[in-house]
Amino acid sequence: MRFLSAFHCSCALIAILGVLCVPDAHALSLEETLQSMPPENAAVADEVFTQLLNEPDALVIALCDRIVPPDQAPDAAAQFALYGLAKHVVVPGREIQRGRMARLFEAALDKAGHPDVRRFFMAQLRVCGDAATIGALDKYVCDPVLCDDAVQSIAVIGGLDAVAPLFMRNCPDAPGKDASVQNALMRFNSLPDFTPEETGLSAELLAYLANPAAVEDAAHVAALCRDALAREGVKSQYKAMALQMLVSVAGENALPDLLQAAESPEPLLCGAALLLAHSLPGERLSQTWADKLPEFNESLRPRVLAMLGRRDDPAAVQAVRDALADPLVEMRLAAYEAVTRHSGADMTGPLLDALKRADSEKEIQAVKAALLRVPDLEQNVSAALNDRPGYETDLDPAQKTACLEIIAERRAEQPLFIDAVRAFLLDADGRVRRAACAALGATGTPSDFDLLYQRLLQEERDAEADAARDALAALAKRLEAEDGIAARTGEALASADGTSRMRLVKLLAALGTPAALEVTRAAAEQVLFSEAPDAGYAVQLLETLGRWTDPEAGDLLAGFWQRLEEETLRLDALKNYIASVQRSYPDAAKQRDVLAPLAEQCRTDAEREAVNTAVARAEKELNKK
Amino acid sequence: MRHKASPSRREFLKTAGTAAAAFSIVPRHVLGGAQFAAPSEEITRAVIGVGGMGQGHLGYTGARTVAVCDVDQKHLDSVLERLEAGVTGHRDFREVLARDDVDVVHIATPPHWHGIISAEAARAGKDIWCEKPMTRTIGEGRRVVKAVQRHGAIFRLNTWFRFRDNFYGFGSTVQPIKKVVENRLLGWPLTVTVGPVTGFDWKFQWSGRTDLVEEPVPEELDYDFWLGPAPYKPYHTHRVHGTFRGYWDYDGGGLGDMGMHYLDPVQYLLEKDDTSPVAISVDAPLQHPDAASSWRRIEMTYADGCKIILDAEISGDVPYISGPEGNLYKGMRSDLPNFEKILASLPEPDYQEPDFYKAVKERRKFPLNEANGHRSCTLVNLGVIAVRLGRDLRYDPVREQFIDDDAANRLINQPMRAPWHL
Repeated sequence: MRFLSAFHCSCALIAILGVLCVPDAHALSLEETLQSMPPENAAVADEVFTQLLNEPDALVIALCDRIVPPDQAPDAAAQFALYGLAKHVVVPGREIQRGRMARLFEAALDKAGHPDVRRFFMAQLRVCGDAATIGALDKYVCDPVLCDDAVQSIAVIGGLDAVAPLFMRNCPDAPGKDASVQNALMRFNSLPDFTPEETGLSAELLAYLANPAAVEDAAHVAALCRDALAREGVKSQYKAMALQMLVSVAGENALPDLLQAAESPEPLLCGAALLLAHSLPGERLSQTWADKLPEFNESLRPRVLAMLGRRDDPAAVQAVRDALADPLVEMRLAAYEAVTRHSGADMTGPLLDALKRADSEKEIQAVKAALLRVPDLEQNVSAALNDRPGYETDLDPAQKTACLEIIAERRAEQPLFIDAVRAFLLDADGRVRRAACAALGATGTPSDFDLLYQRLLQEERDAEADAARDALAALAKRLEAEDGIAARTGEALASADGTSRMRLVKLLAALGTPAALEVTRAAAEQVLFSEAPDAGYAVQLLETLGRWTDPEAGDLLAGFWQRLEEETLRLDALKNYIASVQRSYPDAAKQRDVLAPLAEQCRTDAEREAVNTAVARAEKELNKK
Repeated sequence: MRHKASPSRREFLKTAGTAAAAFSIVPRHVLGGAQFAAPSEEITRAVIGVGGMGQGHLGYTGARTVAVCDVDQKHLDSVLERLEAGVTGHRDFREVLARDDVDVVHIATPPHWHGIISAEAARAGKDIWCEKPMTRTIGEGRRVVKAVQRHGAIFRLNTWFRFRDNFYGFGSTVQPIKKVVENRLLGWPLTVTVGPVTGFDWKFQWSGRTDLVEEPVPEELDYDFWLGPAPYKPYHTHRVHGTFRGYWDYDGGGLGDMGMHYLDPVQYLLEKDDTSPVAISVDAPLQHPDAASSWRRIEMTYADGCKIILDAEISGDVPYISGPEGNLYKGMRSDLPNFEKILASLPEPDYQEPDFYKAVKERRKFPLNEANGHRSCTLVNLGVIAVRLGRDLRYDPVREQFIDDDAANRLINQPMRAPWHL
């Protein structure tokens, strides 16, 4: 029996020792908490803070103790942890934990000595504080340093009811308390405080402005507003307030007041009237505004039309349409802007007529923009032109250009438009021809390559030739005919000279394809290594390769440089190779790595200088970073 | 005369306090009396905040600068040296608003000042050109909208991609994208992905530091005024000037800096200028209480199913806009057959006047104004709130409140340090 008892006692002792020695697997230490900050995502954060809240208060208190005054290095991990806890407990369902954290933060607030440390805990209480926190913060309302922080925090947590009583507190050490309370109260008003002295408006009207829901006698309030609008000395921004109130209480009956305000010499009031006009929709009102249009001065009339342009009733729409032919250009401009908002196909004809009448670039562009907003434009223009035979014959250059720009932008490939484009390609005006080239580039067919080649080679001025070049490249790209055009250009190059040759080389560069590069290479090879190289042509070819975006062009230039003997051509090849490297490698380090080894291969001082200058420039870029 | 009812407690409290400072302002064009201000009359401007972005505003053509303002004397002196004679410098924006020779104020301060100065400027009869983000909080944005509309001010944000310029790394302007969306080529609803993979960098270099130790305030800086409505935090160089974006008290990191540039055009494309998303989800590490940092993904979903995905990590050939009928990729590429031809055949979108000073002269709403600007700024602020709280949120776009989320709603209207309020 004694043996058994001893055995049982030993087992019990071993069991007790076991419990004392085996560590609790779920305990979280301060160090572990700090090391886990910040958690990578919400799920991990939830796990960490749930675990943290399972620990005794001592852990949170230890975290709070790590918040130090601002003259010491802050403990960011502790800050993360405490802010994370505050946010964690405000989720519905965690009210008990929220209360617990609020009490802990309140205790930390009281324990802290430094005002900035106290501010930290007030900030956490603004997140998770509850009704009881108001009492904890109350003692700081009269603190000379923390008064404002305490008042603002009480306002956040307790709202208007919590802040209002603070007015009654006597705080001799915190003379700013009343201002802080007043400031906090302002948060609960949607409007700043206006006074009769400042605004010139009556106290009664100001009260209704502050509290529109209190209006019961709309006629009376309307009379107050009209009185304010008529009063001398009331600034326009306050008249605008009165006008707004008038519209809200009088509705359509405020229309005469809006009309009068629109004619005010005060621009702000005038503008306010036009903006407020939108809050009174309806055809009858639009008709009233439209009928008064001729009576308004020239400055106001377009603005009223712009207002009508944003209304969608038939009277407003008609007023805008009528304005398309108004003698005042500002009216017409306002009409172009608005007319397509509610109109579609039926506006095409009037807009074409407007384009023909337009006598300034500004007006032409405005009509063009309006035409581009018409749906199914090509179809509608075709139909409208049926009623306007010979429309295109007496357009001036600016108008023709606008038509061509529209065709280009719309990629209008219908025969009617392409025929017009081809015709304008031979127009006497260079600007028209340039626009025609661009349009053909966007809409042309394979048969148009010949036309564009003609323009490229026959245009007197480079501007028009460049337009033909760009159009050729664009058309080739669109029709996937770049290789064919490159080959054709190569053939033409063989028998070209002077200006034509230069333009053909530029065309190859514009194409930019591997096939075009090969043609350029072949041409350069032939010229550079002929018995008597044409220096001008050679330089042009080298410069073209230097500007090529394909790094292979750079390799070609490097090869030419290494093979050439003639000093001037070598230098040109080298300089263009350097330019190619700088273009191909935006990274300065890469530029330096490619260019630096060239120095060893340089034969002349001029070549070495070119390389060294380029390397130095790359180094300078690197040192900036 | 109707007997006025006893004031409510609300009204009593409102009138019980000190009246706000009164401004003696007579706008320049009112002083002109019966003379109607002809459209050709020169517009004058003042730039408030001339440290960084503000200097760019000085170069905008169409108006004459008559005043500059900054709380840093060095910034002020440096700018005044470069400007023509006759431009005056101020340390206090209220002096600028009180001037009757200023028509337009350009607000280029850090965002925590944008709301107050915008509202006060409207109240003073000025028109406003405000840097983005429009406001630091949703609550401030609502107040600015009210103030601007009450006083008939003309307001614009300093972002413009919805009506001009190449749209960052996307490779096109917004207009052709608008044509695609407006004509429903991709179907509906749509998902827009905004991130490096579609051409938009979220600039996480604007993260704040968590190791700030208090430094002495430089003599030239009025730090208390620089802070203004923001909570008091001891001075450190990294809080101010070029790096303020890294701190929640003043901005919202890279999202605050670039959000309106990237997201306002998306709001315009998706025809959502008068509403906001109803659901926001987020994938981010826990955020610091003071310093903004990076996030991985924010998704915002509208009531009709349209979605905006802000993604910092996704890779591959992800469409910029994805719809049930097709996709649009960076560089205006699409998997729709005959895409380029169809695109050319579509009508252009409605005209948007890009000249702000013209809108001021004509008293017309600018295409990106206080109302739609507040909505696109709300996209930024919804993202910021979701990242800061680290959880998904539901939002009521009509009441402009979060649903069943007190902590999120506390971030809509944040306290302001006395004496500043909005």
